[in-house]
Amino acid sequence: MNSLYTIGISLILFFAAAITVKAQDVIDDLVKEQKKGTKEYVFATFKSTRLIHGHTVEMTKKNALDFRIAHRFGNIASSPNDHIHNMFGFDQATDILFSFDYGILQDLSVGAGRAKGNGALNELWYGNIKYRPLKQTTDFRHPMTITLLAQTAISSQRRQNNSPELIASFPKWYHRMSYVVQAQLAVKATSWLSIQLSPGFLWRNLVTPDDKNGLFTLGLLSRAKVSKRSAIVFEYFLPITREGATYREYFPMLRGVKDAGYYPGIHIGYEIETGGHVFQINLTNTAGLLENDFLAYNPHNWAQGQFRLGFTIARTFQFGKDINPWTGRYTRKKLLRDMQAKKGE
Amino acid sequence: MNYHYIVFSFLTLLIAHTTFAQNVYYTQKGKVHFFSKTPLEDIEATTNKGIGTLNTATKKVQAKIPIQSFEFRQKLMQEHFNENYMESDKYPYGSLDATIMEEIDFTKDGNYEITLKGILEIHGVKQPRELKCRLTIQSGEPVRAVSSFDVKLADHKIKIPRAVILNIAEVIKVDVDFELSRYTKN
Repeated sequence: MNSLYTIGISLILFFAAAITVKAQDVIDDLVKEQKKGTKEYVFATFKSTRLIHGHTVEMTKKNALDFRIAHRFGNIASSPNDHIHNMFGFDQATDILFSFDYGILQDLSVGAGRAKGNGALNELWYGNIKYRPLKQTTDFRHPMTITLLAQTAISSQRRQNNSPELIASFPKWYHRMSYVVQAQLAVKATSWLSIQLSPGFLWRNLVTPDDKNGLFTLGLLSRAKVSKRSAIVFEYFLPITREGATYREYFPMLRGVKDAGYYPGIHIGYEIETGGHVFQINLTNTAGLLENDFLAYNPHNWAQGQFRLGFTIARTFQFGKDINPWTGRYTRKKLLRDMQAKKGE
Repeated sequence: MNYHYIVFSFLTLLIAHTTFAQNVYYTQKGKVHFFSKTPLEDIEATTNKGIGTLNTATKKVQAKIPIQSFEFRQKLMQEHFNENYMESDKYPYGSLDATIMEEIDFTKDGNYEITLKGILEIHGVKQPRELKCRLTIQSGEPVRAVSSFDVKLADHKIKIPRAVILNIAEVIKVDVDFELSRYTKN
């Protein structure tokens, strides 16, 4: 009786085991095992290496050249009736930037370019280097992507005179230079929302007597995708250690005092990506496009209509074996070679 | 009697496990390649992280391909492939769940043309399919499965924007090459 009972139970167990083996397919174990072994990195935290004015954690891809043209118009509504005469700022070009970024490695890129400049210094030529030490993983084990940016700008502006009130007097040649180091820390929280903090430090070799050479800055950047290929973007840049700045000065929207000083940059925009191109259209109160410029010199206040329309067009050219960088497609040579190889078969 | 009961049931459990896993052949490094050909542009990508299993007892064939593992020559294209076309954060795998239709002896060496009938799931959309496949059996064990089939993008609700409609083919050619080995982990 007892042995019969044992055999019965065993049989039940046997089938139970069989069923569990069948239900939990081997393939699921294999998938789990593979997932454990590989780190899955988050992709496309942002669409482009710059969001509006500020750098994002996106890198120019390896062997790719990212070319961008950015343009900012004049104030939409500044002093009385100015905007009528200059067509809401369309007649003015407050800043224009041409930039080239090249991806040397997957996590290292260099860039160079020129901006017209809208602060104390104009004609800014710059070079930068950007490195990505950490990439966010999809399981948030690496909770964020981090990039580091170092940028130097030099002004080729004509010397104005020897007045120390003017930076453009350039007593020494190196007074033309300024440097930015900035870290970008970004989280792609969901497939549609990305948030970034950009703490940085700006050093200008020559400043006016009431100013300080070193300036800490903090940026908050964010992107909310509204469709697969377009997003609403937002930036806020705050200079922290400007001499003489009061707490209230950083909240101009609450204050409404005219021409009192420098204001934080508040930028809002819309971006569309069309495979290879990124178009951005935006409204910004800062006029300068380069970090060395707009972080320090922004006298424009949203509350007084001192904001402008701007746009950026970025295009990526991929270099590499068998790729035509102008079209992004395979070269004719490679296609012919493939065709011949097929005929040979 | 209690002691006997435990040992016996434990043994049966063990036997059950081993017998059922013994019939499974697998790969975690399966090669998958796809090709889109239009007069304007050729696009191709490859992965060697395809996962596949073949159970010779039940004739069940399963495959799971991690979409993010596809490598493109153009990294920007790879990003767009994942983000805009395949939405691989939502649908991380392309998968096949099928059965072999033919009666074949999995211990007899040779090349077999077989038909896999089942469900192909890409971009979260399931499609019943019959796929032709060539199975190679060597020294009494299945060692290789090679298949080539077409995937119509519209069938899987993969939308192509009008701007690039001439650059991406409506039907994508997919080549699969899995080298199988016996699953011995359980």
